[in-house]
Amino acid sequence: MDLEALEKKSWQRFFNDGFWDILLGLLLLNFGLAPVIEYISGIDYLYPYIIMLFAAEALFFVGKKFVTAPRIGRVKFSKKRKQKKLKVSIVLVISVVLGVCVYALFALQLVSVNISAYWWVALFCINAIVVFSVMAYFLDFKRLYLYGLFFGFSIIVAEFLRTILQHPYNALIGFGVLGAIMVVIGLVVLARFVKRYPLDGEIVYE
Amino acid sequence: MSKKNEKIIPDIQPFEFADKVIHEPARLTIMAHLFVIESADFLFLMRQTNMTFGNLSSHLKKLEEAGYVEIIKDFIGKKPHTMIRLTKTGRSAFDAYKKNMKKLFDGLS
Repeated sequence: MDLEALEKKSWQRFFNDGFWDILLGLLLLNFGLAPVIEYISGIDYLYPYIIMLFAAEALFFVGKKFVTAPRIGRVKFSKKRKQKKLKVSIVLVISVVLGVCVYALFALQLVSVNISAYWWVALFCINAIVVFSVMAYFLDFKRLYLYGLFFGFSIIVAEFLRTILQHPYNALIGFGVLGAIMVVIGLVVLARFVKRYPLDGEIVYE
Repeated sequence: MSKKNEKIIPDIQPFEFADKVIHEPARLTIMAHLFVIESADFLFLMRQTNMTFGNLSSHLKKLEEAGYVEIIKDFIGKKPHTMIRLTKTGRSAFDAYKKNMKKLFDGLS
């Protein structure tokens, strides 16, 4: 009996409900939809983006609470696993803080270096791939490697399409298509999960 | 056993060092699943072990009687919720069982 594999199986069961895929897919899809909403309504794209972000997160938590937990139960994992989750959180916080700092430096014109758009694209692309790979490694969630590539690739596609399509359609196609694919993957995983683990009513052990 | 046979296999041990509470396959599975986590609820154990409600409850009762598992009454929001975890005794018993089994199989060649 391989105890490590047993623990991994228990852990990974919580990623097989599709909600992570749907959440990340919606985040990427939002990058494509928010500029379109701005284009149509004139509202700054940040507002629809934040609203859709909260909606996606709410869907995630509601799904976990009302779909996943009643089907596969609840578990508290070992300290080792909690430490791995903490490492992922640290990586995410560092990535966000760095991103905000770099953005602020250039937006507030505190740095007067003229960097080509291609370098920005490469920087964000590499950042997305690295962050997702670290998450995939520490969370033992292999699909995140693919989603890192999706995020990175979508930045390249959106930038490339800028030369062909009018804004915001470059963003809609660049981010929207891969985001939609992730949502579809999530829905398929969710459908399989619901079919595999039907509700058994309330199970009470005294 | 004749004296002649005793000379041929002199060191064979009676199979008593295996904890009989843990050694039963279903209970071994439950113990192994609980060993690798902090605690879990009944439904999670049912899903992980593929046991029925009745089967799992009866084995958990036996493990509880042996002092290997404990039931923790918890609340999720306002709803009462029961979590199951290995006791310290249960953890060391499972550890000892692992070591004994390893020793046994290492001794077989």
